[in-house]
Amino acid sequence: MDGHIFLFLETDSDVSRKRTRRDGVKKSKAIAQASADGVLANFDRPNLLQRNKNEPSNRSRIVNKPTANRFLTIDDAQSISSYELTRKRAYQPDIAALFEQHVVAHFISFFDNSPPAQSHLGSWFLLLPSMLSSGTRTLVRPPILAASLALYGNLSNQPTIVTEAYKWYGSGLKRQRKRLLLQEPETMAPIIPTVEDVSMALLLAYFEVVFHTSPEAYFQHHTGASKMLELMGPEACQTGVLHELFQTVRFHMVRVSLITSVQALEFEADFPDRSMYLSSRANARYLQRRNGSLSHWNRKQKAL
Amino acid sequence: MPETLSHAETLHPNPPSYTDTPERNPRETSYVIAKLEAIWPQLEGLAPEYGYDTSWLSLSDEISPHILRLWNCTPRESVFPDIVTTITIAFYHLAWLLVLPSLSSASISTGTSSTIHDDLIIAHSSSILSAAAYIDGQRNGCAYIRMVFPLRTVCLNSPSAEQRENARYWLEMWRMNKGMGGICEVALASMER
Repeated sequence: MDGHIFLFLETDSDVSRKRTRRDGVKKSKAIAQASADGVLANFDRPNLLQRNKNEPSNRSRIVNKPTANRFLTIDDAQSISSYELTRKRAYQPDIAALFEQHVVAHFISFFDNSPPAQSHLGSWFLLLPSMLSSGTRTLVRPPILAASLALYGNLSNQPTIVTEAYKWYGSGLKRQRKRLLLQEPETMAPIIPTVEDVSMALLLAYFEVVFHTSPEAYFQHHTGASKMLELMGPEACQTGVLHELFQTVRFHMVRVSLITSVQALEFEADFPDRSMYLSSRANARYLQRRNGSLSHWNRKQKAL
Repeated sequence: MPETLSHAETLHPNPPSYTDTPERNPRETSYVIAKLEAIWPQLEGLAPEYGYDTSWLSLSDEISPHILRLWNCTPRESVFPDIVTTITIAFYHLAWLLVLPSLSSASISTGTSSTIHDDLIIAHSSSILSAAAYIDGQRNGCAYIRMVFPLRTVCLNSPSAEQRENARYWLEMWRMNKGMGGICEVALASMER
């Protein structure tokens, strides 16, 4: 039998012994159960020692080969098995991390089930797994988990997962609030938002899509995301991930601006899909660059 | 709509000046109609039978060229090749649903009948409901989110009770079964108010 891992069988009933006679010495063989780690181990039982007094003691011998002629005492087997079980535990993967990736994958496949090469509705979703496992982009982790767990818990009807999603949502809001209060050390002006900031706002809005905490929260998150894109400027939103985020935010802002009468962003950059850009009243307004006014965020903080 | 414009002016005390015709003023309904008419040929290219046969309308003296012009941009039947195009078509019809009520109110003020715009609203609403039925079978969360606003607008603006009930049905169905509980509840609650 292959393998170097020994299975310690605790009860006699787990062992199917096959007694053989060899060289006048009774030996017993413990045959492992149906297991991926099961191996064949021989061990010397006390009654055998008593019966064969002339046989030298095998207590000091430790088996390290899967051969039928090696003998183990019960103490040796116990020490080896506990060592092997400990070593096996050390290699177990983190179940929580696997579950998080599974939930995020479910979230992505639900919102964008088209092949990545044909995705038009937001391929920035595909960055979420790397953001989740990133050691540097820790800001986005709570909103990702909040939105993913909310959708997963809602569709699978599991209240415990939904409760966990609410916790992550609260954590995401706290981090976002702290982030918004940051200022440039030299100019004391609000910091320029990043991709993570816009993603945070969008993911918190997606949580509101599944479970609404207040009637205005969905609109506030999208309004905040649009304001962030305004601060970053039209040049930054022409290519890359920010362009995809801009397209997503623009689409949602059609509804938000028409319902709440908040100005929607429109850059004058020549986007490839401009011919298919539907003109509504809100999107016909031109953007005026703001000076980092966060008054809408202050109102949101007060509301929270 | 007039409330939206007045609120918009308070938000922007110094709007860009437009000295040209109203069709070039983004705040005017005619500007939006002109934009939609420019988009229509691209949608009409989806299928030869997509557009309405408006020749029978031109035979009637009661149909003004203005109304005929609006019917020329209305599809006869819906063609949905994929999700992205379906959403685009739905938003095209949504834009018409946002514009037509203002035309109806303007026609009332001039003494003409507003029911002719109701037929246009019903036609556009019907396309939105067909798009919702297509989206329901696609299992795409982004599409569900983006269809909520057009369905809400159908519930609010359609003169047909059957269409309003149909739109409400889709919102309730997606709220319960498709994980869109939050956004659909907000939409339904806003309609209740």
